[in-house]
Amino acid sequence: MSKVIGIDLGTTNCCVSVLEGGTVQIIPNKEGGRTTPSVVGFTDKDERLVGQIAKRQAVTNSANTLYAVKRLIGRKFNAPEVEKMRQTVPFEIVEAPNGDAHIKVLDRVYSPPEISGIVLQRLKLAAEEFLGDKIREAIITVPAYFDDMQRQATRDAGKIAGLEVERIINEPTAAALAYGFGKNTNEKIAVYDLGGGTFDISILEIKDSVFEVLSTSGNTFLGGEDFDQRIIDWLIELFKADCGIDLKSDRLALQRLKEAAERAKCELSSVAETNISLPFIAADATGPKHINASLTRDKFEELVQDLVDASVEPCQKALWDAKLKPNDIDKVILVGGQTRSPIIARTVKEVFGKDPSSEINPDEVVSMGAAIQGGVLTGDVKDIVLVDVLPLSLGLETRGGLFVKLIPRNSSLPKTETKTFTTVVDNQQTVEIHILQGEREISRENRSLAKFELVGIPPAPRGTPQIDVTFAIDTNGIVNVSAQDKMTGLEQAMQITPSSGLSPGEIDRLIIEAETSIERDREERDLINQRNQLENLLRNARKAMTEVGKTFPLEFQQEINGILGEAHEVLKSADSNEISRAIATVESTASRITEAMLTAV
Amino acid sequence: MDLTKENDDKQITFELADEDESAEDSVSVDEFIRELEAKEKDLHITSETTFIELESEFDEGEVPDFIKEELDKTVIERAGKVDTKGNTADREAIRKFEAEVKSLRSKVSGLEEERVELQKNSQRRTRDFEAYKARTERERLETFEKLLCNLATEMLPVLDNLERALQFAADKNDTEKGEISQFFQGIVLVNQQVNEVLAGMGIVPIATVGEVFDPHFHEAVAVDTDGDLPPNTVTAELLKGFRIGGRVIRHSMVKVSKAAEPPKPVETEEAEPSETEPPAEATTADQDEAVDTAGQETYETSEPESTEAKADNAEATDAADVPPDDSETEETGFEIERNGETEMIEGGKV
Repeated sequence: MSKVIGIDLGTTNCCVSVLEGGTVQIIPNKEGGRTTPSVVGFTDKDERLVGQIAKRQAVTNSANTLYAVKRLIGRKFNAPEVEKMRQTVPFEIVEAPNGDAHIKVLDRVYSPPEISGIVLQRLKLAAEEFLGDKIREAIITVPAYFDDMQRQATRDAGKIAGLEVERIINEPTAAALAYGFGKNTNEKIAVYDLGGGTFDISILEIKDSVFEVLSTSGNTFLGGEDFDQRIIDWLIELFKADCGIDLKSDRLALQRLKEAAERAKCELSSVAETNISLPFIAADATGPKHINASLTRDKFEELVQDLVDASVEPCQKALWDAKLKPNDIDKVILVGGQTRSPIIARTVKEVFGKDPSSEINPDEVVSMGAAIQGGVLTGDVKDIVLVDVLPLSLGLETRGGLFVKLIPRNSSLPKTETKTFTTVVDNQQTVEIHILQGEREISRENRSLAKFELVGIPPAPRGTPQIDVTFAIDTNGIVNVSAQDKMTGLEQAMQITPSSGLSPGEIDRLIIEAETSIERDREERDLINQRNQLENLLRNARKAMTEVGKTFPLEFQQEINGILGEAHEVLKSADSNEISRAIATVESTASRITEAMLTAV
Repeated sequence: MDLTKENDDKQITFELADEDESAEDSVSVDEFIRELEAKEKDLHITSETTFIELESEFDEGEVPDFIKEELDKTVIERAGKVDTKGNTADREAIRKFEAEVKSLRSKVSGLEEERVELQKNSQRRTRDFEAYKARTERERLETFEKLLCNLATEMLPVLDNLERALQFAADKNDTEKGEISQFFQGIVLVNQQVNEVLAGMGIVPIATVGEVFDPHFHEAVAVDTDGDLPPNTVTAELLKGFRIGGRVIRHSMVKVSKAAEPPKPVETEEAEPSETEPPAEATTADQDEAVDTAGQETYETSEPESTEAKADNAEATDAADVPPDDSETEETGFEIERNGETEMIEGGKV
C-alpha cells in the first residue's frame, strides 16, 4: 500500500499531511504555505485557480470565485444555512433538480463535491510533488455533526480528485488521535475548535478504541477573522480621533491595517504588549500621517471579550447534552489558530476547570490526526485500532411524528437491529416506513433518507399485527431496511446507499474532466518554466555583453543585440514551441559570445 | 416498549409493538426438538445404537473439556486393567512429539509471516528514504533562494516606507524643500542604491501598470470601471511587488480594470425574481455589489463570513446545533405527516 495522506478539508483553509518514518510531515503547497485557502476561482480562459492565487483575483472576479463551499456540501437549497450563505456570498447558489444546493459559475452549474474535488486535487498534486510518488488513498476529516449524506458528498469530492477515500473521520477524533489518545485508555475529551470562520465544540468519549462523539455544539459564524477585525476597527477609530481621517475607504491602508492587526494578534499570544507601526498610512494638507500605536494584551482582550464569551455557551450546551459535568472531562484539546490567544486558553480553563492542551500546532493538528489514521491503515501505526461508528442515529417515524432510533449513533459498524412495530388504528392495512437520520426526537427535525410502504396487512384490531423492522448497516454506510408482517410473512425491503446527489456516471465524467484540467495546468506550468529559463539566459547574455561586449567588432555587437532583442519579445508568447526555439537561439548566441571572449583574450 | 401513549390519536399508522417474543421462542424450541427427533428416525438412531470413532479421525482440539476428562479417566482405568505400561509410555512420547511438531510448525509459520512483514516494511522504508533523499536535495537547492526571499520579505516594508517618505518629499516644490534639497537628492540616491543591490541578487520588481492582470504575480485589491484600458488590465499599482526568478517574494497590490457592466435595469431583477432567468441579471447584480463591497472593505469581499459574524452571533449559536440542518427536511417531513394521515384514514376505512 502506498502512502495514505491525511486531509483537513476546512471551511476556510485546508491542510495535508503524511506519516513518514513514524512522524507526521505537513505537506507544503506549491507556494510554500502549510495551509491552503479553500478557495477556487474560475477564469474566462477556463482556468481553475486554487488557494492563495484564487484569493488574489477574488476582487476582480468575485462572481466566479468560490469559497466556504463546505457550508453547502450535502445540503439542500432551502436549508437555513444555505439561505444565510446566499445572502452574503457574491457567487450564485442555485437549486439542483434534486433539491441540492449547487453553484452556478460562468454558465455552468457545479455541485459542491466538484468544487471541493478541485481543491483536493491540488492538495493531492502538492503531496505527490512533495513525496515524489503517486498518491491514491486519503483520509479526509469532516465535522462531527456531518450526516451520512454530507460524508458521502465529501467522499465523492475525493473520488473526483482521483483519491480513494479510505475513511472519513471526525475532526475532533483526528485531533484526539494526533494527541495520542485511543491507546487502550478510556477517557472523556473536549475538543475546542476555533478556526478562521467557524467554532465547534465536541465532547468525545474514548472507550476500547471506539471514539464516541457524545455531543457537539458551536457557532458557524464565529472565527479568528472576527478577532482581526476588532483590532482593525480599533486602529481605524484611533486614527480617526487622532487625525480626523477615515481609513475605511482607503484600500491600501486597510490592507496594511489587516496585516498589522494579524501580526499584532499573533505577537500578543506571547508578549504582553506590541507596537503597531504603520508609517505614511495617509496624508492630508498638513503632511504625512503615521500610525504608531501600542496594543496591550489587556486592551486586545477587552476588544474581543464578547467574541470569546460567545464560545462559552456552546461549551456548556455540549456538556449538558453529553450529560457530563466539567469535572468529568479528562482532557481539553485546542484546535484552530485563534486558540493560540491566551484569553482562549484561560476561558476554556474556566469552563472545564483544567488547563487545555495546545502543544501541537492547532492549525495542523486535525490533518495530523488524519495522517495517523492513514498510518493505521498502511500498518505503520500499530497501537491504535479505529472502529467505524455511525455518526448519527438511524431510525424511523412513528405515531405523532416521533422519531424512534433503531441504531443509535456511535454504534460500531457493521450493525443489525430489529424492533417490532404495530398498527395504531383498527383494520389498518398499510404502514409507511419512513427512514430518518438524526438525534432529534421529532422526525421532521431529522434528515429524511427514504420511505416505503408495507401493504396488505390483514385487517385486525389495532395493536395486533406485529411488524418486524430490521435495519442493517455495513461498514460502507449502506443501510438495508426490511419490514415484515409476522403473521403473513409479507415483506418489503429497500437499500439506502449514501448519496451526495451525484450518480456514479456523473462522478466518472467529473473524474475525467478533473484529469484534463490538471493536464492543462501542467502545460501552463511548463510554459512558465520555459519562460523563466529564457529570461535567465537572456539576463546572463546581456550581462556578458555589457561587461565585455565593447571589445567585439561593432557588427558582431549589433547582430548579437538584435538576436537578444528578438528573443526578449518571445517572452510574451504563449507558444511553447516558439519559446523553446528562442531558448536554443539564445543558447547558441551565448556560446558565440563566449567564443568571441576567448578569441578577444 | 410501546412508546406511544394511549390517547386515541387518529393520526398514526404505526407504532412500536410490545416485544413479546417468549411465545414465539417456545414454539421454535418445540419445533426444533421435533425436527431433531424426525432426523433421528431417518438415521435409525435408537438408544441401543453404538458409535465407533476412529482415533485417527479424532481431533483433540475440538473435544469439549468434559469429554476429555472422561476420556482421560477411561485411559487410566484401561491402563490399570490391561497393564501395558510400556505401551502407554510410547503413546505419551508420541503425543509429546506431535505436540512439539505442532508448536514448531506454528512457530515457523509465525516467523514466515513476520519475515514477509519485515521485508515489506524494509521495502517501504527504502522507498521512503529514496523519496526523502530526493526531497532533501531539492530543498537544499531551494534553501538559498528561500533565505533570500525571507530576508527580502522582512526588508521590503522598510523600503516601502522609505519610498513613501521620498514620495512625500518629492511632491513638495523646491521652495518648500529649501535647504534640505541636497539632502533629499542624497536619500533618493540611497534608495536607488538599495534597488540596485536587490537587482544584483536577482530580486526584481514585478511589472504592473498596463500589464494583463495575472494572479500569479498580482493581487487585485480594487477594480476600476472607468478608464480606457481593456478589461483585466492593471490600472494602478498600490504596492510594489518583487520576484526572484519565477518565485514571487511579494505580490504587487494592484487595481484592475473591468469592463463597465452593460447597464441592465436593476429594477427588472427585483420585479422579476423568478427562477426562469436568474443568471445574467443575478450575476450583474452580484458583480455590482461586489464592486461596491470592494470599494469599502477589501477583506470582507474575500471572507464575508466575518462581517456576518458580529451581527449573527446569537442566532448562529442556535443554527449550529446538532444536527445543524434539521429544518432542511422540514418540508418533506411535513408532507410525510400528511401522507401518513391520508393513508391512515384510508387504512381505517377499508
